[in-house]
Amino acid sequence: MNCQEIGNILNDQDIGALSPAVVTSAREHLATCDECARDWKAHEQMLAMPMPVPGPGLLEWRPANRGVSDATSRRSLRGTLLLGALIAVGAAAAVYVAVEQSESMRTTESRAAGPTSDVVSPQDEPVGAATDSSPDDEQPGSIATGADASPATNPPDVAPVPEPVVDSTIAAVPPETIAAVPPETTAAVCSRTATSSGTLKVVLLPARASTPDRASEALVQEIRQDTLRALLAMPAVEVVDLGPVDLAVLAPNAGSLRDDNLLFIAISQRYQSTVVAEISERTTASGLSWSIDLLVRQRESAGGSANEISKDGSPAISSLLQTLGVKSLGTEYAGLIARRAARPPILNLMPDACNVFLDASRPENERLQALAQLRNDGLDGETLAVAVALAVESPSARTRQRVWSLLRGSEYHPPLAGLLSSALVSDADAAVRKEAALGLAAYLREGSTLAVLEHAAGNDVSTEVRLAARMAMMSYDEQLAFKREILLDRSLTPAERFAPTSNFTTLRMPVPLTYHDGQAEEALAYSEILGATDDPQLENSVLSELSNTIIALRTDERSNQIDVRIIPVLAETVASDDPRVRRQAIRALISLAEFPEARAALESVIENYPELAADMRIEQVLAPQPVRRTAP
Amino acid sequence: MVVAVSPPVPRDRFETLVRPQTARLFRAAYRLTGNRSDAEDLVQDTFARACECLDEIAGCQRPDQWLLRVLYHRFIDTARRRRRSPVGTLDDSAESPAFASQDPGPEQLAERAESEATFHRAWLRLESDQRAVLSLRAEGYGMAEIEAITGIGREVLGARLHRARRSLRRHLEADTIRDAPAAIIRSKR
Repeated sequence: MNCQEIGNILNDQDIGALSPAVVTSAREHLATCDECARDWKAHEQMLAMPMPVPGPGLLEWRPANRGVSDATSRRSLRGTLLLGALIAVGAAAAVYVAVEQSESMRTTESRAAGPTSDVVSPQDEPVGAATDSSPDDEQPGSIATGADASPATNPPDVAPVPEPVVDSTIAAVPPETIAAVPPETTAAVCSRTATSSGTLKVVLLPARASTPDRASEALVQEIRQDTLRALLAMPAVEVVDLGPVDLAVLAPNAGSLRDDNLLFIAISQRYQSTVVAEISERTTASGLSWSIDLLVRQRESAGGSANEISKDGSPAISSLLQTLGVKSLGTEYAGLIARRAARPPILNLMPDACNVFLDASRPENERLQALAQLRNDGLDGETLAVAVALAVESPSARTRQRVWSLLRGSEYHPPLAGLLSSALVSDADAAVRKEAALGLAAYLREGSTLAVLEHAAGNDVSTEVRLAARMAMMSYDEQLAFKREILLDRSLTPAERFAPTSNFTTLRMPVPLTYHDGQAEEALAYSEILGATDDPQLENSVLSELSNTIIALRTDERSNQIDVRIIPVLAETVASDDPRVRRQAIRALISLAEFPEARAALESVIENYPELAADMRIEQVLAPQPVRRTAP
Repeated sequence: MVVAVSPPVPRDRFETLVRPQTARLFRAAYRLTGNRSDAEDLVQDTFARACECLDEIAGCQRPDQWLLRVLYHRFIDTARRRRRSPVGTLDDSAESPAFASQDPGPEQLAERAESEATFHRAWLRLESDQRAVLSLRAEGYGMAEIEAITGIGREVLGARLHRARRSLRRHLEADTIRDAPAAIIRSKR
């Protein structure tokens, strides 16, 4: 008997009426499985819950009040009267307001449109909807962005945006095209072609400069305008020009949450976009650098790098990247560096990560954070040496593990192979050995790496280390097949089923999960694990993988393969005691918001967890899309 | 003016169809609400609804399931209303059950009462949805019957039962750990 069968008994059978053979089998399992034994005990305690006998009132026949107790009846009557009164007052108020509004609307309409005009009532359009702009309102030659002249979109602390300077690397767009962009505060949707299923829809966020410098802000706005021109020049691209006010409506605290995936997901859902693009300035340890962050629809790694997107293999997205001058991760937007260099230098307010990391007197957690920043820019010799020393010498297993983990994503450094092998063979902590095994996957051709991994795969005392070493030696396809085989093996415990997937996720990093055959089935398997476990850590990992899988399915336009049976399990997981799990489950539901079942579940979240729902902007996700207008 | 008068409720049909389920309904209601008076109100509400639908109940193969379905949905509605406007919520301060015990020894009596109180507290800490499905499970209903009563699909139900049991276990274990020092002191005496 296994955990699943014990669960089935507890869910569905009378444990007092089990056959002796089943009882014996169950006892054998309970003797070896602490989790099931505790579940069983809780179930027995529940069955033994003492019950009082009903009071005499319940046994009386009271047809006069239709079986309702006096107290209940009085409560109901009071409630009915109060409700009736409220309805009456409400109805009267509604009639009054309706009449007033009707009068005022009639007046407005007759003034604004004249008797023959077919004007849509403002009430008919959702908040944030794009309003039509009359040709008279359009300013030829200008692009209406959040940085335009409107006070609402041009806050006083932001420098006025200079006239756009067209970069020679970007195709110029005729002024008449630019003039078609609707004005300031609404999310303007501009399209070169009629919307169709083949159209690439890009939401362009307001530009963002992380350095508090007016020159940076102005330049970012400039770049954004150039980008908008480039997008408009592309065939089959529909652009949603999202101004700061739109963003504020969509996410009031977007300033602090801009890096949060949820914002991007919410925007993607709201506008049903393929790509969310943001022009932002990043400050790195090596100095200022400019980047264009692009996000494929609902991608978990919001603000993800251009590299991730280009690997999706979508020709339209590749074309977009080329147009924007983004070639691969780490390649700066052509011409940006030069343009930035032409500006007066600004004060770099970011802490110097390199100095922080090299300062041995600082706490290890601070140094690890700095290392995490540094590895994005590549590690120089000194930094690498210090990192390795920390990984080898730190008395904290957590630190050793973390450093190896951070170095795993860094550049290829052959000398690391020997150090990782040494850690795998001799470190006392299993988590460190596991990390070392996973790290060695990148150095299979170096020296004795394979021999060390083979030895660990066969002999390490820890099951997790043996599994990690085994998977580190596999090719990507072998890992994929192996994790799939174990994932679909329903005779294993939830943790056992998920362990290879967890390693697979680690090993494939930083390559994003892309679509592969059978992913819909895997998503369902994740939901099964989710339904069968109560370990928050496992739930978190599974939810993350499930979300990635959903996103991979959706970005590959395979939403129709998603099994909606996932949704009720996610909805159930929202009730988790662990707030992180709850949030992750909601996040996954948001990524499925195109399904009515998921929308219903999200509505239930709004009802049951109003604060969390507000924080996660679920209402915005569920809100109807604004009316879009297509430029001629 | 025409005044609508409810037809009289045939007492014998009520006695035949509904009355035999009183104890079961009350047990389920008590598990759901955690206290006697709310449980009685809930059962009375269910009876009120039953009086209006005796014909329908008579046509049911399982009147108990019909009644439990009504009881379940009334409880869930009430729980949701309470969650939206929490005037008073079930918490640790809710009444502890006073049960007649046949154990003569005062220490055993105290231990048993404490164990029951511990369970009661853990039970009331469950989410109302979880308490609802476990209540039906404790009444001996299997998945198919609970599915029919609650309208919850099989996959969700399985997951919810599992999660509810785990939550109950966690609350019980947390409470047991909290009570452990007192138990040790008692055993030393």
